Order: sequence, then structure tokens, then C-alpha cells
Amino acid sequence: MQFSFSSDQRDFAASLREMLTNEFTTKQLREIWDTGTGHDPALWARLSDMGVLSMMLPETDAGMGADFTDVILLLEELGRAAVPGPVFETMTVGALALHGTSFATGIADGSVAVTAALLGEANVPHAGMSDVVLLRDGDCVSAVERSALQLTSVCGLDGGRSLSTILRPTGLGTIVAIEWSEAIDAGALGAAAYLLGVSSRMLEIAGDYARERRQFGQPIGAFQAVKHLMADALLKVEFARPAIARAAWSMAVGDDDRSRDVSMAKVLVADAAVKAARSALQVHGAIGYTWECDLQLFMKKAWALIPAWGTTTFHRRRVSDAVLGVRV
Amino acid sequence: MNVIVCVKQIPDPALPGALDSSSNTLKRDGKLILDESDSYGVEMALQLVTAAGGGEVSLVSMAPNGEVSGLRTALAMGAAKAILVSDPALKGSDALTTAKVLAAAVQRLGGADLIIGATESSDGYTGTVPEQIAEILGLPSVTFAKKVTIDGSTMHIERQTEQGYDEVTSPLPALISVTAGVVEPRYPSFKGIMAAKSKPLETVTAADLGITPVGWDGAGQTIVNVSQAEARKAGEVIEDDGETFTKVVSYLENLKLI
Repeated sequence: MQFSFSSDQRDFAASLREMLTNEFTTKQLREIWDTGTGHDPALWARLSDMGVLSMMLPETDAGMGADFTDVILLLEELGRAAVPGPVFETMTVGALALHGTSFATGIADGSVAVTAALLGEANVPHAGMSDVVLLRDGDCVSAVERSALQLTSVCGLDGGRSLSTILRPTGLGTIVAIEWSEAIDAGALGAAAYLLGVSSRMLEIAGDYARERRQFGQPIGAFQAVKHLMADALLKVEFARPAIARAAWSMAVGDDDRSRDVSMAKVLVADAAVKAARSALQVHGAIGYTWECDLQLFMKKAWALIPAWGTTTFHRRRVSDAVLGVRV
Repeated sequence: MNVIVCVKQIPDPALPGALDSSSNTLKRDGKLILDESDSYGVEMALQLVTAAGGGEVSLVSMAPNGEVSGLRTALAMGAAKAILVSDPALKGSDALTTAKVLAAAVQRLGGADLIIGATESSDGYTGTVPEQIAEILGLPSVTFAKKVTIDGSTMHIERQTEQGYDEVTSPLPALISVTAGVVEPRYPSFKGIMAAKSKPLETVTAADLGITPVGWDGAGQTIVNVSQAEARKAGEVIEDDGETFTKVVSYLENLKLI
């Protein structure tokens, strides 16, 4: 087993971070929130040009044939920048469900975005700007073109994640080459890796603030209570990281316990995100909640993603079933 | 159309730089990255080759420690091959020696229709190397190019000036130095990053190119002393008493800013 990331994997992540740092600042993220679309077409085109969106497509679909161990660092970088739109959905479950179809080349060239509603979500994320929506049909998954669905926009918490209710005409859609449980595993791991990036960024923002904000003649980060708060949150985030790496490896090799590992990762990162958001807000005080503070962009992203692709209850139950063989 | 770009690998400007106390030169021991000012030249070269419908972009670089990270970045952007001149003896080289070495590397590649350099490097700022290379190679050179179009064996350049730009025409082959911001450098694609690792990158010494003496021995300069820049003085602090704006206005008037 390879216990560390390869130089290629690290180079890809560094290259993506450089692009996002230069081309997608929080100022631009706010502008996307203001548009109400939850989507940045220019950024999407850049991600497509770099090959980010098509990583998990096979080479025959103009992809790189990558597996989850190749993409989790990228997903973390995307989360660290709170990239809007269905980016992890398209990269992971979208690519795995639609490879070999006419939509696959569209994913590779950036013309097709994919979202999913596989757990009976009342409000479907990103449906308004996606071209394909993956929906559950029993143990199977169907791909439905967005144009065939009736959408009604609803107000959401996260401006980078537009929400809609959808009305699907009966029988519409094409069954795709991925089972429902596989799609859940792929989407949940994609969400977990992205959420890890969001969590890390919240702690970075809080750390910067703690070094800058002064009280009683010194930075507030010098006070032990603040140090403990931040250290505890960092511990949670760092303990979720290897669980995500393990789940990625299990998915890559088709391990029998991959669903358990994905659920374990999603639970740990969701708990870490809750802790990171609370701690970062505590460090900031009330200013952290204001529109002008960058922290709120990432907190809202975290709060939207923590229950996405299965709540922690859903995933704890899957771990319980896998470990104990019985539901408790 | 074949284009050669002279690129420099420099210490990451985001990290604090340090001087080698024994030589009073910048420490270049760690990882070096592609100088951002050279990324514009690489991008322009790639665009010119694409517009010409054929040819390739090659790179020449000089570094004392065998570092290739910056060159790999340029190869990942789309350049086809590179020559790195790396030799401990190069340490201390001045601008003219650098130009001699890079000119020899260009000749080793068989020359090109166009040679591109940056106006100046981000860590040295001599701003003289491209023109020295042109002189050594006997080529026409145009500085501060901000827009370049090729028409057969003729090149049309918009040359940046303080007032606007000059329209310059030059025969090829030629050398130009490009200003920062003239084009938007592309980010390497993942496929480009993978491909860059197998592209030809030849490492040679100055002696291989027949250039001697180099480094301190060949330099027409010595660094006799380095001293700390004077610390900035603290600005004037004005306590707001409700009439502060008059003091601000007065201050700006004294500076003849308003």
C-alpha cells in the first residue's frame, strides 16, 4: 500500500491551489453570491482547461483515468477556495456515472455540469445550472437532462450552492452505469474531501485573525483559551484527513469495506467542520457572523455540506451496520 | 516557426530571501521557481507558434545548482524541450557572462526564428541580458515588446514607451524582450504537468559550451559590501479632534498633491 501521495498528485494540487489563489479570491466568491446563480462560468472554464473536471473520466472520454486517491487533494483545494457550482459532484459521481455516454466529453470540455439528488432531497443543489441531474430509480441511477425537469428556485444558505425543487415527469431518464450505493459512496467521499478543505480554510482565517486582533496588549492568539480552542479544532480536522485518504484508497481498489470507510470519513469530517466553524466563529466574536467577514462564506458552505450526501446519522448507521452487522 | 525563450529560475519571492555572507549574493540553494516575468515570454512564444501553424518552443536557462523545477513549469505550459546550463563555477556570474552562456545555449539548440527574454528578472533587475545576447548573436533586438505579430520573415512589434507605444518592424531572426502583463500566462494542465516530466531537458556545463572564464573569475564586477537598507521612519500620527480633516488637507497641500 502506498502511504503517501505521489509527486504527480502533489504537483496537481499545488498547481490548482496556485490557480485558485490567483484567479478566485473571496472578492470574486462574493460576486458570485451576488449573482444568485451559484456558478462562475469563467472559473469553470479554467477548471476544465486544467483537466480538473475530467480527472476521473477514462482516457477514451478525454479524461485522465484517475481514481479517488488522485483527486482527494484536488477536492480539498476546491473546498479551501469554496469553489461554487457542482464541482465535486461533476468530478466524482458525474464522471463515474456518465463515462462512455455522450455527456462524458461535455464534462471534459466544461460544457456539461452534473448534479445529483439521490437521497430524496427536497431541495436539489445546483440543479439550475447543471445540464444533467442524477436521480434515484430503486437500486439504479438515472440521468435526466435538466431541460426536461421543471425547476423552482428556492432560497438557500450558501450563495455558491443554488437550490431548486424539481418535478420529474414519470419515467423520464436513462439508467446509467453506476448503482445507487456506489453513487452515494462517490458523492459522499467527494463531499467529505471538499468539506475538509472548507474546514481547513476556516481555521486558517481564524488563525490569521487571532494573530492580528489584539486585546490587553497582545494578539488574542497568545491567550491559552484561544490556543486550546484552535488546537482542538485542528485536531479534529487533521484526524479526519487520514480517514478520507483511507476511504479514497478503498474506493480506488474496490475494497469490500469501501462504503464503511466512506461513511467513517464523512462522519469525521462533518464533526470536524462543525467544530471548526464554531471555534472560528468564537475566535472572531460577532464580527465573524457579519457579511463583510470572509469567515461567513465558508461557515455557510460548511453548514450546507455537513448534511449533504447523507447526514451523520445516515453514515453512522452505515458504519454500525458494517461493523456490528446489526442496526443499533 | 521555432522560438527560444530565455527563462530564469529564481528563489520563491513569497519566501524571505537571504544573502550568502561569504559572497554577498542571494542564496539559491533551495527550490527555484519560474520567474513570473518569464512566464509572459513563454506564453507569447506558445501563442506565436500556434498562430504560425507549426514549430516549437524551446527554453534556455542558467542556474548554479542544477535546479529544474522552474523549467518543468515552463515545459508543462507547452514548451517542447530545454537546455539548462548548470555549473558550480557559474556562481557570481555577471550579466554579460550570463548573456554569453545563454547565447551559447541558444546556438547549441541550433538557433531559432525568434528569441524571447523578459525585460528584467525579478531577483536581479539588471535588465541588460536580452540585448547582450542579441549583440553576441548578431541579431536585431527590440525591447519592451507588448504585442508581436509575425508576417512571413518580418515581425511587427508594438514597443511600450512612457507615452504609448512605437510601431517597430524587424526582420527575423531577431530577439525581443517582453514586458510583464502583455499576455495572460496559461496555467499548466494536468496532462501538461505529466508530459513535462518526460520532455527532453539537457543539462550542460559552461565548459561544455566553451564559455570560460565564468562566475567570479569572469565577472567584471565585485560586491565589496552589503548593508541594511535604512528602516522606514514611522508616519505622522494625528489624533482626531473633530478638525482632523484640515490637518490632512494641509499635509496633502504641502506635498503638492492637491
